[in-house]
Amino acid sequence: MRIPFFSALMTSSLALLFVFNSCVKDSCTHRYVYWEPVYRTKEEVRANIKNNSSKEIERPGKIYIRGNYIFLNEIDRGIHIIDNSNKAAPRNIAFIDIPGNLDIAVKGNILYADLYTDLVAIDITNPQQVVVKKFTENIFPERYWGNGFSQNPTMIIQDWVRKDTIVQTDCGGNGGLFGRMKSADVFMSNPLLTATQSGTAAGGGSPFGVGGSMARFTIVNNYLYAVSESALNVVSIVNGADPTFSNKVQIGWGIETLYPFNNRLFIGSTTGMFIYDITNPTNPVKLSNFSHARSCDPVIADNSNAFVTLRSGTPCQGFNEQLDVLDITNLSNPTLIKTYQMTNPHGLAKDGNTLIICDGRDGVKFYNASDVRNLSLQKQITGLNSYDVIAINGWALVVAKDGLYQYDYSSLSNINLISKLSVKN
Amino acid sequence: MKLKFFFLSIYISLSIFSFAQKKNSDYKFHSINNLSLLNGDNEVSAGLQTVNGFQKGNLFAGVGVGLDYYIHRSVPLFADVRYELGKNKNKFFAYADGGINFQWVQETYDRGPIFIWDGGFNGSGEFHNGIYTDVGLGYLVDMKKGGGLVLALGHSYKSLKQTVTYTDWRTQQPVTDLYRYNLNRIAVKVGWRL
Repeated sequence: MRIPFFSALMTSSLALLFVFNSCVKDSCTHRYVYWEPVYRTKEEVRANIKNNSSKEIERPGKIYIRGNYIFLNEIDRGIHIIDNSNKAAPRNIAFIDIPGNLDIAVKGNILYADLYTDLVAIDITNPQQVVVKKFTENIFPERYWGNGFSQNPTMIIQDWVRKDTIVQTDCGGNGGLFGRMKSADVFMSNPLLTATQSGTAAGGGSPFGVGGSMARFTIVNNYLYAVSESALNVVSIVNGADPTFSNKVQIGWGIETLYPFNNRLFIGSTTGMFIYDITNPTNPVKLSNFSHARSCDPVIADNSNAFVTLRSGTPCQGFNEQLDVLDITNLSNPTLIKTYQMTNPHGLAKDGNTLIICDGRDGVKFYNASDVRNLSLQKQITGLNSYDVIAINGWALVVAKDGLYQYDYSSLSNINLISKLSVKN
Repeated sequence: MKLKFFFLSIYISLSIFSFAQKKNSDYKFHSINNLSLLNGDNEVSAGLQTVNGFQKGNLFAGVGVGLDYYIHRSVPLFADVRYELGKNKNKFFAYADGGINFQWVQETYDRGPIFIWDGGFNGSGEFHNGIYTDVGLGYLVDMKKGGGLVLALGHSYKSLKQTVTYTDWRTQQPVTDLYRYNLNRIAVKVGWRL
């Protein structure tokens, strides 16, 4: 009797399992951030490109050094002007409001910066009293926001206001008895972001400024080269105050960084490194490319070698954390010499035989690179999350998550922190 | 240190078990192990549990752990109390569970980039623990030596949180999205009590 009753109960329970099912509902919510744009008219924005009061550094981007001044990009906001005449006590003296600004380059007394789709030339003869010289429109059309967000074409986004939003969302399910086995929607967008790589030092008497290794702008002689997501733009600056669009060369998707060396451009992309010849400056010609696993890859070069860092955890996807050293003595056929494992390498710079690598959360690493087949770590500075570096004759300017560091590395055995300009918490 | 703690735990458990098994002891140890069907409005999933504890009179109290496959796999760890109705060998009982729902999601969400249509990329997704409750009624068919078949029907709830951190492509600000999963199911459990 007991078992039949149990069976009946079980049958009833199973029936109730489905009857009561309509009484229970899953509830899943998604809290996300909606960014509401704050618009200004084009005239208002352009009128505000001047020396405004200094602002705290919040999200440092690209860096450029010109004389005793550091020009530091505040991502999508503008440029900090830092008086670095006393390296031990740099002073943040002014801020140039340039909405949508990500990249900067300097030649002579003219600073070039992107303003979303446009290029603006600014006279910085007196960095404390800068003067706008020209706007060249639509050089970077890819900065026109899309993907479901339509910018008002007559206005410019000056700022974004954060708004937290909560909505009901799908809970998932339909994974069967043993639940979900795979994550959904795993692929990637291609944002117009960050990464750029750059250059090491220019000579002391050079009219050119020095870009950090995360830059997408570079200047060679009378031309400004700027990479977008897929193209190399050539802008003539024969007359520095009057930049003129010259040419656009399609390269391929995933372009990140630009590094000039000896009439060559070394272009880092998410899938490899390209070498372009700019003997004819308005018509860059592809010489070769070196393919690698998908990842971000800032690149620098010297006469015989290119140094490429590959990293993950970025819009570039990929899972490599390494430094590739390439032989580029034959520019038409770069070959891999050796791979060194890293933690999360970003920007890098080379000063003589010293190779400096920003290795993310592992800080800054100084290598003796006299033998590229056997790089030897001379010094590692920890305690900072670094991503870009400029190195000039024993002086390193490092951009890290929490600030701008300056080091004296004239003696690798005794590297001194000269100063730190902190980022607003 | 961990090894010492492990052996100490075993010693204490055996002591309690041996105390409970003594003749004339008011406390009796039971281990209840069951399989379950979990039916919510998104899917029907499986689960399994083991509950171990002591009974005095009509009241049972123990600790349970299980595997719960409903949408996102998790491991509930909970306290269990149940009260038997009546004094017959075969009887109904009411039960209530409450505890922590440990996430054990099957896919490594923390590596793959997650595309977010409204503005972002390349997130790192991470699941976080939630809570677990289960209340219901059951029926026990008493068999030899205190063993028995157990059938139960109840309402089971578990929650999980998921955070996805990414850089917003428009503002380039790091942001964190928060997903909250509040999952309600009707649960039927069939098991064996030792």
